[in-house]
Amino acid sequence: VPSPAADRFTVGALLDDLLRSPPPPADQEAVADLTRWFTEEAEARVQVCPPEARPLRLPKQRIESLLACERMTLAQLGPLPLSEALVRGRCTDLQVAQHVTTGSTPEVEADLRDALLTRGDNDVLAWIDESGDEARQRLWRHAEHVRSSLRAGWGQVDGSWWARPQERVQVGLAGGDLVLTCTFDLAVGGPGTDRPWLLLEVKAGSARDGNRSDLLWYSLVATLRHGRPPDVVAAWSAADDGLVPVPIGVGSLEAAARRGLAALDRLVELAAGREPEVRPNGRCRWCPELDRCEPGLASLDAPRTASDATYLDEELDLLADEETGW
Amino acid sequence: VSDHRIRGVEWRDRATDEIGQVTGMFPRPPEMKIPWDDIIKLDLHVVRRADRCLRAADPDDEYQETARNARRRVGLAVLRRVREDGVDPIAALRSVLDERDRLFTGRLLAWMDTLGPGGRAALGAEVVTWVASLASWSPLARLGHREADVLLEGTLDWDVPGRAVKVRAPADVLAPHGVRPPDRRIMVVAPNLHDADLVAGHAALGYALSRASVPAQVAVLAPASGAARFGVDEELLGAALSRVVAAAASVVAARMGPEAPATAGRWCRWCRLEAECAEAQVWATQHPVRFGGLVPITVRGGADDGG
Repeated sequence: VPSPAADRFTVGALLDDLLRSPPPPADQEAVADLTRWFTEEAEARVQVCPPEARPLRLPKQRIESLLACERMTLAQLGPLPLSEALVRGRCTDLQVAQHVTTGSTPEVEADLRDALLTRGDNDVLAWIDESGDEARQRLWRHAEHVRSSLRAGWGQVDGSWWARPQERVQVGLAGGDLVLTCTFDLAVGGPGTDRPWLLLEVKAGSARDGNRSDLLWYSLVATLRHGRPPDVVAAWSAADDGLVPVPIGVGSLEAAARRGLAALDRLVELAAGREPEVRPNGRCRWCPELDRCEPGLASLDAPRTASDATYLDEELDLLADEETGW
Repeated sequence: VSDHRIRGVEWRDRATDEIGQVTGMFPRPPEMKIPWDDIIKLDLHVVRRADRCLRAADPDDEYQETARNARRRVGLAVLRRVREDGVDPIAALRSVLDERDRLFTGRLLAWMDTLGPGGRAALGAEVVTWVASLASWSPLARLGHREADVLLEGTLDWDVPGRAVKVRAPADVLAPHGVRPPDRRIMVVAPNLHDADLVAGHAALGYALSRASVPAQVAVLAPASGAARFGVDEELLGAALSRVVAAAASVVAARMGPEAPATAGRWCRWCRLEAECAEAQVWATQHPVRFGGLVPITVRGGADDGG
């Protein structure tokens, strides 16, 4: 029996909803109180960090990593080598950018190669050219699917939204000794426009609930930068054209702040030289230290969880925030 | 003659004298055409580099036209269109791309002509995000388009008299346009606010030298971080000139010797002289590579702790 017809929840529908029924503005006084409290708490923590370790940086993936396993965090520092998942993520970001600026064409592979060349992403082009036929076919097949999802779920994004691909935010606290950075895959509306403000995280794979924590962190950093929170943050997943929207209020900002401070506690202690703790988790199988980590090896025998299966999504974004913004 | 003009001429004289003293080996005889590569360009990049280390050098990478490198030049044309026509950045981008033959020249135009739909989109993505941040910046947004002058070239240039030396400063918008002197403001976009005072000072000095007029204020916008304003006084201009003179001496030393003194720091990791610089080697042994404050278990190269 077919399901009853229903409008899918899509980016296009979300934008229409926001325009038709703009969310009420957050309580500005409460937001100001919260950001003041967070700033003071963060600065107090950084005070005890040795000067040679400053500035500390806290991008979203480091928060998640620190809270998962400290040893894994230290083992994964530095840029990741390119992988199929990372390349797929880069291509998906480029397709979103093309969709909202000049519009996509049916020549997906040619457009992506052209975009990568124009950006000077020669390492990605080399990876594509050196990968096998099957990997390339998977990549272009995925890209075709992304294009279909964009056309179906986004439609044409009106220019009045001032769509801004890869908008970067960097907030310096404690006189620049603590740097909070985010790169929003797409920002629309908000500052400079008369429209509600939406931040969109693009995922090449499928949506998962764990994306919420990242989205809330985005909303906090955006609030610290602009003095007001975004109305909605959302994760859009290309594989299933799924959308996880999260309306932002003071409560969600506070949740992000408390999680960020918990990670900052660990960051400061590790920067000061404390030995990292080991906490086996679902990501152990991708840890470079796994061969030297008994608890991690032992954890591999445990049954996998649903979140393990979508780890690729996180890998896709690791370079984006930390390095160039893409 | 207004006070700002008198002071502008005084700064020109002082810069001519001080820069001229350290660049005597690079004369420019009257009427002589000097090849572009032989001219010493004292731009923000050179000044910033010399401010960290007088011996520092760039990596060997050859300049390549990319979306990011072209962002500002194309972005200023788009910004002007946004303000003049009252359209959104994407509509402005499309019309600027359509009219690129009229708006751009030389290497930039030739490069843009090679771009297909994907390349134009990649360029456009960089441009619209940059333009949106500047167009929505309240000090500019509240000015009508006739009240601010978007500088398509994005720079203020001044040739040091008698020398093959050019001072080049960044300037994206001058405002208000064509009104009384006390309101002269320069708006500059910078990647961050870490050295906003250096950026502001160099922009103010560039304006003073190129226009023979001292500006009143410089506002620096770092789209990711925020903005900072600086009143232009003798201290700001004096510090800027000192840095320009030091940068000139650094460039002369690099080309003609003797070797300039080194100041080691994190920037050494991006300097092509690192392997042969004793100071850099000592510094590296005393300062483990950190990524955002953390020392990795295994270093795989690169860094995220900024330069």
